Amino acid sequence: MSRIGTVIRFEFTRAVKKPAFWIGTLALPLVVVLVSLLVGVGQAAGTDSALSRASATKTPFHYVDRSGLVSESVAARWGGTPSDDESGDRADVVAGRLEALVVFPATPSTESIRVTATDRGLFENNAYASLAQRVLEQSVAADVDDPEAVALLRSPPSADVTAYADGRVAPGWLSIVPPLLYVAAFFGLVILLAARMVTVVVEEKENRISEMILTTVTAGDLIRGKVVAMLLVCLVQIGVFMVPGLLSLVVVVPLLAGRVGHVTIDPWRMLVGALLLVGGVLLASALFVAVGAAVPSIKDASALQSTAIFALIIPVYAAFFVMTSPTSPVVAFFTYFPTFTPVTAMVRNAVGALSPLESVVCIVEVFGVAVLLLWFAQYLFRHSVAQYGSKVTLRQIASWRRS
Amino acid sequence: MAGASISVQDFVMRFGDRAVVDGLSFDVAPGETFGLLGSNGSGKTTTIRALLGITAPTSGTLTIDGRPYRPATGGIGYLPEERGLYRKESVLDVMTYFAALRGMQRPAATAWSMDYLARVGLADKAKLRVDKLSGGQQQKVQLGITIMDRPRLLILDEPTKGLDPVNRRLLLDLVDERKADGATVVLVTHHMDEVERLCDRILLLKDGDAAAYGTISEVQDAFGGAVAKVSLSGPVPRSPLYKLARHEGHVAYLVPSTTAAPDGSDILAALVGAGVHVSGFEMRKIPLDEIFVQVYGHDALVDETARSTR
Repeated sequence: MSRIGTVIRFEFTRAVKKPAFWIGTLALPLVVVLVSLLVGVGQAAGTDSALSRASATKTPFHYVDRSGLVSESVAARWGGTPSDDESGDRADVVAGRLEALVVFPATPSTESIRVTATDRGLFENNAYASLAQRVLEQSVAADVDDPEAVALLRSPPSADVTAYADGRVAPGWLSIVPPLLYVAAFFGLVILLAARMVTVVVEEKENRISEMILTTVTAGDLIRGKVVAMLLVCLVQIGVFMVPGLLSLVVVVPLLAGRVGHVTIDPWRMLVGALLLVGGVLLASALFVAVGAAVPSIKDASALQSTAIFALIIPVYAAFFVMTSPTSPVVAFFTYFPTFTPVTAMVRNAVGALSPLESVVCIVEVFGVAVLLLWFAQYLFRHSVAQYGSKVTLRQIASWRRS
Repeated sequence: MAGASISVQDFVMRFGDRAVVDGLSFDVAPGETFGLLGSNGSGKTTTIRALLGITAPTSGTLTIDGRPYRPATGGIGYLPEERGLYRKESVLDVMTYFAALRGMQRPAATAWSMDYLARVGLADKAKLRVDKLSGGQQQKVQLGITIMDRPRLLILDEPTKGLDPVNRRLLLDLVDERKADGATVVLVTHHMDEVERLCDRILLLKDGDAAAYGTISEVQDAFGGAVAKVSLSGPVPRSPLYKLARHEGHVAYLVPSTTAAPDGSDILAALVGAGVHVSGFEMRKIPLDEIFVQVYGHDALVDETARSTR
């Protein structure tokens, strides 16, 4: 076996053979499954939720009808009685002697119905609004003879839009979901990789092993071996995480399919997203390796490591802005700033706002920066290999270049 | 097995504007045991790191068997001054990992490691994590990694640092075995008894340059050749025939001046004539530790000794 193969095997084996690895890896999907089960069981048991209590129920109330639309019989079915003294009823509600006073305005289409009521709780208070709306809606419906018109009054009609682009049906909003999964995968991988990559690189220096090992393997092979091994470890974790994810899809997709139609998969966007994901993960790995190479111990790495994570995932928090304003100069800056490129380009690609030329440029940039960063990480590691007590400084790097 | 040869020519190492090693040259012949000596910061470890390609020299040529060393070349056993192991892994896993990096097959690596661990009394610790071993036990494992796969060149930087006398002897025996097997050995140490026991030639580094270089006998000759070891009571009187090098308890070391007789008879006569009670007198080659003191701190030591004998 080659030396790089030996490094990969050693690093991979010792990571996956530890009980802590499996506890950590299995804990997340187990917790997700467990919480889902508990929620499902709770809902199946028909628990009286705050939301269910927020729907309209028969309630004793007084009302004032300035619109002339409210039917007394309908209002009476819901517990309503016409008010004789609006201000007196309001005072009774405030004093707790009356549950609610509803004032229907002269033009309900433009004005709000005013409800003064005794407090039932944050969610349950919505029941008063529902009650007032139902009374007015049913009163109006009672004057309409056509059942279709009544149905339209109660729920607005749905509209199915079919748009065309270049003579072909354009993908709908669901088309952004599959390529957006790459962003989620990148986010998860960055979190998974960060500590692992930094630890595995800094370990040689922290434990004073680097000099011994560098007489048997080059710094480049050592670093590359570690990166590959850690990526393999992450693949194992992703595999474990995907089991409950795929099971969920088996259940969820048929349910969603009936409601929202078919998810459209655009092969070009999927290919671009996949390449950006692979390049982005390599770039993130190289960045974390560089952090590990620059510090003498894992304790010293925390600040730099957090900065590196922040530099990679900050565009996630601007994703909505990137989606809705892809031509903004700020988004252009985000698109080409090296550590922001993976997420920004993936988001723009998902909404179809990344042209083929931009896609190629971003992919080349991400892979190019990843290679440069990995080279720089090796350079840092090789030059600071015997620097056991302190971080590498920019001044030192400059002095290496001079000497 | 033929040992490796080393050649260092005009080696310069600068860190920024500071020259740690400045134009150093020396050779080590195949099968030779070579002592690289010097005080802290004299450039010994820097020279070794550059020789092994761990750090790049500012200028100069450093070769092993005529070529700059690369890990792919192999055949090297290096025990650095700053040393450690993968603390969370088992002893056997760490040993077989290093063995695999040196190209050993796993069954052979496991067999060799178990034999070695049995020899140094750690067979029952093979499956234990490294951090469960004592410091001395970890050093034995490090030495095992250094000598595994019969390296042609063994470079040991302060190998006995922190070892108790039993483990120190064990280590020196293992080095002797590698020597007997024909390996070239480079020993970096402060212990002159180890140098006298093991080394064929030595190099004394001072401020990044060679202060002395040659066989032990040649270096001793270069530093005056002889010294009078005198067992006496009371202070040592001043005399133009000698210079007091050291005075410890009832033993004084006197460096003869150029006017003194080679056999030291006039020194002995001068001491007796001055009323000193001499119970033993021996002319011997100047010991290496005395040379070490002369190179790195002789003046201060002589001044201090002279003050105490006035």
